[in-house]
Amino acid sequence: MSRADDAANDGTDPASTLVRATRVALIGSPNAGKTTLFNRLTGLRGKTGNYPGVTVSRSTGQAVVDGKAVIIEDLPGTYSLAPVSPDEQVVSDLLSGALRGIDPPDATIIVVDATTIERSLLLVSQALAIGLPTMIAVTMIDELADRGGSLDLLRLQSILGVPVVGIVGTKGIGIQAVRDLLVQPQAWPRPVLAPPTDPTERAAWISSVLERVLHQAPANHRWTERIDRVLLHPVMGSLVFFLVMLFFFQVIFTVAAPIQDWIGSIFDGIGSWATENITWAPLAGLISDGLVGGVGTVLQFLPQILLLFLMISFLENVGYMSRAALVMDRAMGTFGLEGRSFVSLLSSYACAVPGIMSTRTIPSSRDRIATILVAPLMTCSARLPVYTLLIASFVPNTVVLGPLRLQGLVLFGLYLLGSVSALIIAGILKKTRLRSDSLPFYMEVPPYRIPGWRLVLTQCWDSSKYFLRKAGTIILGTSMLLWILLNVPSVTAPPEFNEQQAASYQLEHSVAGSIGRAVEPVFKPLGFNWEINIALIASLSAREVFVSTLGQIEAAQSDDESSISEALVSATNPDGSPVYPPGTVAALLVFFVFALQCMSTIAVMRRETNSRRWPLFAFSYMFALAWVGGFFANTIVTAWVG
Amino acid sequence: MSVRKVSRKRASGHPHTQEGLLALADVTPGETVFVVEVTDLEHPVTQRLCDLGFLPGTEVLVVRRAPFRDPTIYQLRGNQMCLRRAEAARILVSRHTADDAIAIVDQQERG
Repeated sequence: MSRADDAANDGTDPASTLVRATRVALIGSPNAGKTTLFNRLTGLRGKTGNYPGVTVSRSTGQAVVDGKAVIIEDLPGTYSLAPVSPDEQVVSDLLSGALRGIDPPDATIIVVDATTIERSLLLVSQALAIGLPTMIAVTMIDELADRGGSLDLLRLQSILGVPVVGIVGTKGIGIQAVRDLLVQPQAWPRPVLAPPTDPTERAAWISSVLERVLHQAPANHRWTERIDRVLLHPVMGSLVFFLVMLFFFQVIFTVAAPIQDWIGSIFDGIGSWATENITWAPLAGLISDGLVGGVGTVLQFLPQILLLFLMISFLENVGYMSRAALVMDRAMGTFGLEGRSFVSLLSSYACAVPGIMSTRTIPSSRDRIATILVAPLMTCSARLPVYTLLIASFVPNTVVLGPLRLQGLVLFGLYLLGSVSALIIAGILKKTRLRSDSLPFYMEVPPYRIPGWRLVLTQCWDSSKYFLRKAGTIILGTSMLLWILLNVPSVTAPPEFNEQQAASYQLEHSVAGSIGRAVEPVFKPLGFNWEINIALIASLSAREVFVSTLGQIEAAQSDDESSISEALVSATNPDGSPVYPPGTVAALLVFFVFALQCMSTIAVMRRETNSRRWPLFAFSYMFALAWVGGFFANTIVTAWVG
Repeated sequence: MSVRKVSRKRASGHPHTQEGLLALADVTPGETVFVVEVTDLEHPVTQRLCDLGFLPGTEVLVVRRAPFRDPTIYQLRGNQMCLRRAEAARILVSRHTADDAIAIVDQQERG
């Protein structure tokens, strides 16, 4: 099997099986309802992979019609087959057979939104010119009728010379007709005459088609008009935007927190069960420290991630995200970015991986790279366990003003520091290395719609999957490796040592211990001792690992009863000084704001920018910021607190 | 109806009130105008503006500006699209209907 086949669908590309199934590609502009049709046809049995050699995700699924399997491929949304963005390039390459390793599909379904058919006919004319068997699925026919528009689908069918089916994806209307046609794409009627390719003739062709199908453009969406009057009002619009964002973060902290504790207690239960019931100590340790400490800590954050993505997916499908992008475009423009960058950065508050992937909708490659490079500075949910642990342990919860307490303010400050730095750095990048001569910006403003819950849930799940995969692979791996490094070589403590001292002795003489000591000179100016260094190095794989590592280290050295937090507060160096004086805590917090400690992010950057240079650059600049920021935080706080 | 390439001078995006032409960016929200031409056709962004339907003769309603005055939402060919000033400045429009506007340009080029 070729490398290309491997890249698609984990090597199980259905097209490469012995009996070759018919492959049908869905083409359509963004928001046309392509994905809804795809889900209806394949019954959510879609698979995602990547197109070989490029970084655009590929989703394929199987529809069974008449006892026969048909492979449906959901192509990225595109306005035109003359490509501008990487996604559009893939669509035009795939259809023309220019995509290495993938044959062009056997047939195409062009998904056309009835309410914007005037614009979509351009894509139709380009797709028909390719000459593959083609069917046209006209979506949103209910909305067109509701808004007083009209379109004669039978006439459209006879004029274009290809099958035309009207569908309402959310209600399942017309899906059966599409399925029936999928039995034999070879038998679909073909256009007698291909549409013209010259732009001017094409414009004339479009108006003549519209006239002959008795096209009546829909009236403005009444609700959209009213809602926009408020949501895009100079004062009200900004206020609503602010409230939506406030609500967004409020939900994460208030709704997700109890569920989080609940998951945490389940894993704690598994951990203590393992310690009590597994007699072979290394296995018990591996399960309770490695598995529960590593993967369990991360899975605790799943509710938060799911909620974040649920809200993002909902806001996007309702139509608010494009308004948010619109409201923020001017502000983002000041930093050389555009409105869509804002949406990507917002997703990065949950996790930088889907945030970086969502930059695919940004047509300008320079804006896209700038957004990718700063996305990891947004405070992702993986930083939260670190922040909460350190803040809860070391920052006094004194009242500062009214309901504002110091702990909350510090957390808010860390979010703010990350976000503001992201914008400033984007601005610097766009003024230097990524300067673009003009800032192309166009964006469709779809009418508000009540989204289908299936679509919202599917999108939410697709984004959360990456987070789970990270927990199952990278974090599990590092936790296990770390456990080994902490316990190898196994040394025998002098007999006069008690259990606690013996554990410290083991730690000091382990491989991890010597690594921690080796890098001491680098982190000394930030106030980190060798124990913190071990946790810091371990957290290069994923930030959350910091907490579980500290847990493993400190718990080993203190008595069994105390929590990680208590162990940290009481931890002392051999000379009796605390391991975590205020300066060190401040330096650690600032270090985590900036440092790129996440293998998944680096991997996705590598994939999305198709280079090693950009992830390397991101890692270096973020490390430099983290070190310098940590140094200043340590110096200033130490001088201030004394 | 044809799309002409225009001189650099006109591509600057300033209003052309004397010719009855003005840049789309300078039209006040609430007004309806007609596209006369899109300047600097070689540019990929301009190509995309044509893909999105900004073709000569197209009726464009300026819907509203974003809270911070930029970008602006335009309604054309049954859907709403937002453009920044910079892009809207590349689109020359007329308050007259398409045929009138093209007649004006033809006259001026002949003269």
